[in-house]
Amino acid sequence: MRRTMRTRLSLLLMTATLFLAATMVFAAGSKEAAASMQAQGPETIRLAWWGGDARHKATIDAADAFMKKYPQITVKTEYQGFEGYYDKLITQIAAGTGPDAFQFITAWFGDVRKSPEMFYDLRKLAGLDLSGWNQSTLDTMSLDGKLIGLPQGQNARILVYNKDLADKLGVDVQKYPTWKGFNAAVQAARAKDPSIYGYSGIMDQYYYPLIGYLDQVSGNEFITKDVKFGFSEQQLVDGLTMFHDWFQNGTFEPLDKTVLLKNAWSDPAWLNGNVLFNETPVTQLGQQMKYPFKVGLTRYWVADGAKLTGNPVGPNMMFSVNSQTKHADAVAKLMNFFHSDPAGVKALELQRGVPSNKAAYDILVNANMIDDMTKTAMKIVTDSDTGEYTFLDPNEIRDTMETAIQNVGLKGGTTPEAAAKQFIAAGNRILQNFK
Amino acid sequence: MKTLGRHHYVGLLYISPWVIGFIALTLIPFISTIAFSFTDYSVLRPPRFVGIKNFVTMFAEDDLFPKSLEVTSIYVLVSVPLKLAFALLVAMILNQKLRGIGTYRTIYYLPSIFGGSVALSILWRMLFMGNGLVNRMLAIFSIQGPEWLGDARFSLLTISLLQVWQFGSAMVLFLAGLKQVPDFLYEAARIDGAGRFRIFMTITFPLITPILFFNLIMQTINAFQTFTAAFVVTSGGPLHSTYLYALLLYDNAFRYFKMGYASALAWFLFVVLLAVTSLVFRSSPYWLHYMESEH
Amino acid sequence: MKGQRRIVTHVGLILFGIVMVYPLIWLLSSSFKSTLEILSSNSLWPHVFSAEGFAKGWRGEGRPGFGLFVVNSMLLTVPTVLLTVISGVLVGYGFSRFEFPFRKPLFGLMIGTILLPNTVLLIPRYLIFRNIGAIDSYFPFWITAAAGVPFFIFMFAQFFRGIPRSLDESAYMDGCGSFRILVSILVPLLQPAIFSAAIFQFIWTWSDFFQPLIYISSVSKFPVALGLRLSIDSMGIPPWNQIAAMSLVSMLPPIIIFFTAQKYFVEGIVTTGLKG
Repeated sequence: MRRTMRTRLSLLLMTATLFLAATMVFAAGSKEAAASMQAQGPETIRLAWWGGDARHKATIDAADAFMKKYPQITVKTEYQGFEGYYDKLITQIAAGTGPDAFQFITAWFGDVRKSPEMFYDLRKLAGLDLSGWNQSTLDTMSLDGKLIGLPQGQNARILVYNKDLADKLGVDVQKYPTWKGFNAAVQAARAKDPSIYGYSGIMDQYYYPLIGYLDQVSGNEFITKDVKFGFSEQQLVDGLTMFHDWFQNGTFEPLDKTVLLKNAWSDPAWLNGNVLFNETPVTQLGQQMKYPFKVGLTRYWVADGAKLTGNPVGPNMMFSVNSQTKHADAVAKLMNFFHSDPAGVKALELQRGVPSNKAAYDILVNANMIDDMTKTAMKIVTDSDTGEYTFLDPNEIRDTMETAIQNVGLKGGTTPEAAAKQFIAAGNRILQNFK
Repeated sequence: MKTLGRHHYVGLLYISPWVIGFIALTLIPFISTIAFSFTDYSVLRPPRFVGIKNFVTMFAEDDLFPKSLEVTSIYVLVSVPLKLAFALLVAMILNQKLRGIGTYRTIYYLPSIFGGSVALSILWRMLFMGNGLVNRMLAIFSIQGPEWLGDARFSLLTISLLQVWQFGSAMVLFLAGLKQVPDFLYEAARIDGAGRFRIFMTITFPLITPILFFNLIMQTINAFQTFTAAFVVTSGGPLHSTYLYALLLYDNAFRYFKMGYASALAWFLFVVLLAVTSLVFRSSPYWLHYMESEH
Repeated sequence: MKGQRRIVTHVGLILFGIVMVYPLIWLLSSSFKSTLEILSSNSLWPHVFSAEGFAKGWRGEGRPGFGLFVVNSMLLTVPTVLLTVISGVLVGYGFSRFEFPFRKPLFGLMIGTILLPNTVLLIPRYLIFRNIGAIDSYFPFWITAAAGVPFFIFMFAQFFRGIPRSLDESAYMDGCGSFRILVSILVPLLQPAIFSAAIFQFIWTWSDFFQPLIYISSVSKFPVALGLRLSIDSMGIPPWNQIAAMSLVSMLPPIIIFFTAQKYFVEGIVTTGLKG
């Protein structure tokens, strides 16, 4: 009996050992196989961004250069205009079909700060080179202690003006940095030629100036970090009254002509050279060089005695990584390529602003790729910067503010007082959802 | 039939795709809409019960809701009757023995085959924008055309025009119905010396009321749900003057991520349409005539 | 007298016809002009014939070429049409040729859903498809078609009613099963209805904007309707000649179908519209 038991036991032990050994060999073998498969097999990562045609081309070129260097990684590019980008991104992420890496801005932080889990903590992304950025810049792109974005370029909004027209009418663009001064200068110009206007833009381009004005006169951000409006109703009334008057007196082109335009700088009056000013973010300066007239740059309007310019310069755009990505490795390589590899940096040019990453910045400087216009623009905005950037920019608030602007600019609208009241009431209600 | 008794259950098999589809894609969503309308449901977080808050917001706080209802109602009240009037009128004219009736019918019907297509909305934008064809043609007659799209007083009219331009599909239905009216009725009336108006009121109109009924209901339901034209041509503006209800719904669901609130809005639309449809049904005994040979 | 009235009527109809069709002709002419000419000239005949609208619009600069959108529309529409016809025939057959319990109320319910506004079901349907991961694909369109579109089920059921049951009955006597009867005897007789249904569903699905807007987010999957909208979204001045040209291209399939299959249009509407 005992012998049989021992035989059985040893048989069992032998089988177990063999089994264990086999499993270990198998496991080791398959890990190796998987590793080699990863190295051999193609991976596809999805990169999403918004922008105009120029940025699309630059980013696609950069992705192509990346794929040349890393033939096993395919970068699938997904791009579109700004409108609807955020909605689509959030919808995809909520459905589990989000891209691996995507462009993002601080203005959306307020909306996503209750869901930081959707972002990959970039400090934990193995292989990612963060050395090009200084700590304080990185801190601005953190939520809940997690680093969620790689800061892109310095970018701010700036006024573009039709130099030929300004010279012809004797407008000294540098002389009037205040709102009142701007109005006076335009009215003087219109006295000489009543067919011209001072400024025109799409609804978006009235939104930014108004927000800027509110920041300036209140000394607070448009929406403060405790999710309240930083300005008073009276300040809004004043701003809307100013806009109302300017729509009437020709400082702004009559709103019904531009209210439906969707594309910035597509206003026929501007393209025909009948409008003095337009505005643009610095990153879109490339678009401004294609007009039949010469353009110049000057700083955004500012109110007398303003404490904030309402026109922040720091990077507000970033590349973020989807926490659900299955290709963290490849994404890290891509991000490094974009920010420190000369081929990547040069392909991206200045389409996302002047890089805040020192390695990228040096590459561009050494290659003489920072053009004069951008240099001028950067000087103008950094000289005047004391801005804070928006951390909450919901579609609904934007729409509601645009309604207020339309109310004071179009026939059939309301008074600035009524429009302001309406905005504050609706706006407060909307902000409730973000607390 | 009794011998084929068991066989008839096979019919259930044939309609099973519809039954399954109805439960999964119609019944469940229908009930869900009601359920969601009592929740706060933003895309990134699960739904949260909030009672009747959404309805309170709709009726007491949101100014866009009454505005959109107003705009949509005007749109329907203007475009549907006009559309049906044109359809009937032209159908009656084409119902005579004319040469080339086929060609005319084709031309009038053509615009309506595209339905709510983006291409037509884009075309409308090109025609009616400030420096578009319409204003340039008016300029020939020294008329300074307004901003058909950018002026809140005209924009809704311009969008309605797009809807009315597509009266062709309703017209074809009227034509078919008119052709069904037996000739002998007309001849008898003419022999009796009845005038054209009298003939219309006593013969033509009663006999086409079934088609009118159908057209009225289908056109009204469609008109209430118009989206593309308002979205592409004017984006609901300016000043929400073309902010049709479908746009309000779209914005709240897919741009503001307020699925709960949007569900409440959807539910309300259903109630309105139900009311309108039953109104038409209820009123039908007063004006709807069926030909005796049918039913 | 009568002759005079006839001439007046014709003149009126012709003038009205010109007004009705003018926008479409103008679209045609704009697609052969340069953008500048579109914005400045009123004439229908291009001063300078230019194919730039088509060339550039088709190539799509800075965005995908239009050819991709056309292919996508086909991928979306063709299966939808096929599934609509198949399910319509099957379900219509079931409702019209069999007397199972609850047939009448179910049929009434089905017709009732024609009146149900789509908007009410929109959000939950979207959420259902999102939860099964079917967003950003054509699956929602296909599956909805496969479940049977009430409008067409009704149309087929009406057509079936017009086919004498004696045909079925004699086939049953011969020992044929119901499916065999459907496929070999009834379907051939249904051809006009099948054509009508296919034509209508093709045109409606091809021109649909709202549903693709909600379900499809990747540019690479955009059908023509979304692709067109992309073209008016670019920065700077919109290239109207490209937009006009591509709008025209997108309208071609419905137009071609319309002109080659006119009688099916009328027949289809009439069958559903009149009877009952």
